[in-house]
Amino acid sequence: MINQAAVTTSQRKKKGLLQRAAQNLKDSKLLWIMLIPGLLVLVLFKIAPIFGIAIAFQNYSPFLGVFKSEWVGFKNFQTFLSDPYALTLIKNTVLLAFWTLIFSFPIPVVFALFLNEVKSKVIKTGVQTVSFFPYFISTAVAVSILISFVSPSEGLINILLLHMGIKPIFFMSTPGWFIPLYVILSVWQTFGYNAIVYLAAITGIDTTLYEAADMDGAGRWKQMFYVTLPSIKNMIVTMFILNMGSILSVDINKVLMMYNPSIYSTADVLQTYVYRMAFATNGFPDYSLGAAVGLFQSVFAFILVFATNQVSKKFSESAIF
Amino acid sequence: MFGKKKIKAAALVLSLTMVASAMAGCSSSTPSSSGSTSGSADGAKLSFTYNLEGKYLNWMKDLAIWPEMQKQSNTDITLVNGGDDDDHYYQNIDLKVSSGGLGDAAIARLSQVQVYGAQGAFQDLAPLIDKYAPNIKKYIDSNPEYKSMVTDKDGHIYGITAEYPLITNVTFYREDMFKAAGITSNPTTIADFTKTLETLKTKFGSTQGYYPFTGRDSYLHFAECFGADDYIDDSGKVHGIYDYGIGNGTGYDVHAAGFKDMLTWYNQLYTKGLIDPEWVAGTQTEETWQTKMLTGKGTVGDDFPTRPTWFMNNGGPSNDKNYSIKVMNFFKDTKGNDIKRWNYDATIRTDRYLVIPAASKNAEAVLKFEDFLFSDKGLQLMHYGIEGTTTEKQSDGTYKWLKDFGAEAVKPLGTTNYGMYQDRLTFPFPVDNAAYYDSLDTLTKSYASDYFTKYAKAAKPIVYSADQQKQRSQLLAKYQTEFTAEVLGFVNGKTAINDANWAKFLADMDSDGYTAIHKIDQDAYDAMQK
Amino acid sequence: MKKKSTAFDYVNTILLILLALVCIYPFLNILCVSLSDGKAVMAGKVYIWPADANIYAYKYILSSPRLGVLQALWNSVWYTGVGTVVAVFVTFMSAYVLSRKRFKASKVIMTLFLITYVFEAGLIPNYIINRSLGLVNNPLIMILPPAINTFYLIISKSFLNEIPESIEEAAFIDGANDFQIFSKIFFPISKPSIATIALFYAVTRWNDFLNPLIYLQNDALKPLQLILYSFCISTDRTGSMLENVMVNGVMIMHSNIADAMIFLTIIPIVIAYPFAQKYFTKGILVGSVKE
Repeated sequence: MINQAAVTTSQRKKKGLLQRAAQNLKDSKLLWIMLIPGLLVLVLFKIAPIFGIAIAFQNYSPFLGVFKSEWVGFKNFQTFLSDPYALTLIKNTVLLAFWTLIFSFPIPVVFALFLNEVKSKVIKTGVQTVSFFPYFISTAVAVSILISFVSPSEGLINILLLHMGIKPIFFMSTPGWFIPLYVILSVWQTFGYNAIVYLAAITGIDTTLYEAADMDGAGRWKQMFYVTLPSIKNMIVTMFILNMGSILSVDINKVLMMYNPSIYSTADVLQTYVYRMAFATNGFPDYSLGAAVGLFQSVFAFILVFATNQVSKKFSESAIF
Repeated sequence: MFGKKKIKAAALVLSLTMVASAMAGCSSSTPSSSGSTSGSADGAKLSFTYNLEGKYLNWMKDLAIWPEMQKQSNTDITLVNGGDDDDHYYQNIDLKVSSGGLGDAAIARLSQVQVYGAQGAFQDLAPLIDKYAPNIKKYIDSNPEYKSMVTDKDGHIYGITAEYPLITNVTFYREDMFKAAGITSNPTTIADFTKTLETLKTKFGSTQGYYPFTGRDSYLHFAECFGADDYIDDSGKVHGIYDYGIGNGTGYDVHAAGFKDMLTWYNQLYTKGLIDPEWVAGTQTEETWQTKMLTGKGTVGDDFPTRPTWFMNNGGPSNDKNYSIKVMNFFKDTKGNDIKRWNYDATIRTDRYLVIPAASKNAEAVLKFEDFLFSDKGLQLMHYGIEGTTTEKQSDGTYKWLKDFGAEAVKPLGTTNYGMYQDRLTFPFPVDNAAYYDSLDTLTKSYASDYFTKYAKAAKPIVYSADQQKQRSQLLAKYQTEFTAEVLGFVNGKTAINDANWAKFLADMDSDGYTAIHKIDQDAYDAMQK
Repeated sequence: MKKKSTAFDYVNTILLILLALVCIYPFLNILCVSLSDGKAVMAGKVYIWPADANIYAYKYILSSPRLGVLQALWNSVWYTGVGTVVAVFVTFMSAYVLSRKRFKASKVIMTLFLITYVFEAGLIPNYIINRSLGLVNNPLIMILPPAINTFYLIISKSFLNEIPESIEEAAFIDGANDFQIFSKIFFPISKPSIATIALFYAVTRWNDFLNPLIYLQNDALKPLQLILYSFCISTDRTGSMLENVMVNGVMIMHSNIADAMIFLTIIPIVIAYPFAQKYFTKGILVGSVKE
């Protein structure tokens, strides 16, 4: 009697396994189907245009197209790298990107953490909403606001300085001020926007963790460091890796509107150089040179992203690939 | 919550919306050039599409003469917006040139005309002009400079270009501030001018942020007075980096003795606080400059000829009821001779070429229309507008202007505009300077004709080959950066103007591209003379 | 749990409020300029209060048929609405698939996404592809190509990775399939992250003027940002298209018109934002699964 039951149970279990295996395969199929729209976008709009990298190795004419334009190998890269100015440009680009990252990355995290501590719901929501607004001001408008703020003749800053007896500072024409101004403007424009990601992550934190910490006697600061911060650690790491990918692509519109010949020594970056050389003249636009410099930057960025990704694998379980 | 049924329904609605909009979008796409050809038989209207920048398209639609232009030439022209911004418009030409999306006629840059014309993207207009456009042919043959700008060395014509009126910057000043400072006569030389500025500084210098001489963009004006400008002398030798004399910060002959004198003068102005340091530093925007001129933080300017009117109409008198602007004569050179000054912009433009893409079947219509514009009747319309509405021809041959340009210029978009705008892009046609000067507003008109007749001169054009253009652009980008930086150092006093520094400066300029660019300019000019 | 307000709280709150003021000042300024008399603006008199207040600039913009502001507003709303829904749907669903540990191909596909994120192809190849797909002068150009933004995809994936596997396992045991798990369980739980992504996509779509500048030359298809850019912001030596105009005896200056248009482009998002905001400031109990 018992043996029969045992046999049928094991038979049932075997059947269950097979059924579950078949079910798994079917499930994968469903996953693939769900992925189809995403795959289409990936292939059509992200992978397909990659053929354009060929332009960097050609003497490209839009009329002849990629297939009929003359191939020149690495000549465009040579033109760019053999320019003695190239080193200054790379240095400026890296410095600008570096300082922007140093400030614009942590500030949204800190802002999110401290905003989370505010008790009054009204103030919390109000500040968070308003902090988001600068993102909507287009670069052109934001820069013109900045310019009028620091104007030696009419700007608020210089008026204040004057009251304190200090001579007006020509912010926009002093090379040393370019990077600070650029960073401040960038941070101002994006910190509220970027903080949203962290705020959303914070709302997902299990509140029982806070209760447990309370019972252990942890104060506000300890809770922030030992509960909130670690819980959004993965998001922070992911955002960091992603930011590395765009590190070298400084906002060209911002630089273009902020720079002038007085500060080329610090303000001229790769993209503005390409813009001046390839597009801003009456000559035939040099798409090939632009593509070459762009490719150069992309390779650099890719190495950075890859390295950061590998490093982050060691410290957290979140890595992108 | 999001049940399968709901998702399915949403997807259905979404796809229907998308299909509907896609259909709507497709049907209003840019008209292709291989559309119906227009009949050339008399009586039947000629029609074609014209691709140009959005700004000029919108302005043209409001022109009172626009319907007339079509009516009198028996054409029906469809305007197509090719882009809303200078840079992006020309970029769109690059994007569309291979797909036939440019229609029957389009505006392009000279460099695009040269490169794409040679590659076969644009039709060779030379045989078509011979056949359909006798007026254009006559104009080209009797104007060697225009001919050299449209004909390549093999005799092909891949585009015809628009002209621009001969105007220059004018030196204007706050007449009331001059009176208040006790200045009774206008300066006639650079030395006089310095004294005038000093007098102004003494009187008004206590106002925070006041500088007598202010402006925008490049500050290196009056190069002609020092002999430091770029020009081609009678023997055919090119002086300086050639920029058609425009002198908006790109030309100049650094090797001329006068260039050193010019920088010495600007350094003097800077040290004495006579010139706006923001302007010199390059951080002045149009807005900050306008505010300064309107609120009395500046007295003298040297800028576009309609600027005095602008300041009078846009708040000057409301800030100061004595506000009044006048124009002073151009200064003599350092030797005391009367001289002229260079044009504000090239009189034969390099960025407004009309081309006919290869795929167009309406080349005849386009050229017949253009020929009308080059004919006497067409020129009458383009220079003096509609007889009886815009102007009225008098018995002695002069014209009476019936509309107030000042009022027309500020009309809102979408209303018929009776102003004449030979400086704005419409279509290529020969410009009439006298008519242009007369068509301006009252204040500008009062000095325009005299000032320009006395002082304006147009620089000879140089045409570069596509390769030369490419090399030159790359060299110029670098040269200009170094030039501006080093000149700035001399002007604001960071670098002393002594022999040693000057020699180093010249050596730097030569190696940064001056020698190379100068050679290209000379070679290109010599090639044109053959 | 009521805690006493400490000094930290006061300082924190004050600093944050100051920060908020810095963020809101430019908007106030733009609003005031758009409502002021141009001459006062030029004279530098307008900071946080209008001078000689009037609404002529707004009247002119909204009623001028040539500017097509109302049509552009509708276009912007349509592109943003449809574009966001499509993008959120495609992105989130793809992120779900790619975050499943049993989906073996996710590593390869994520690498592809990342490579294309870093190696941007540039204007011309994108134009060629889009043109051959018939997307030029087609409203779908604002919907299909931007349907997945790699950055937001990865953020979505990060959010989804935080959800414990036990929930999924429990659902499998109950016999649900992937799509049901996605739609009935993960979707509702992920409201904060979906709201975040939706907001980001909406903002990107609303602010985008570069794509329309290149692909949408047909006036009827242009979004509001492009109208703003082409009429007010882009200038060359001949000035912008909308120089000072005289309407009903009042001279409306370029700065008034530009700022009025800027304000109009900002207002709809500012109004819509609070609705999205409540999704990621509410706390959500994720711990619904007993280990």
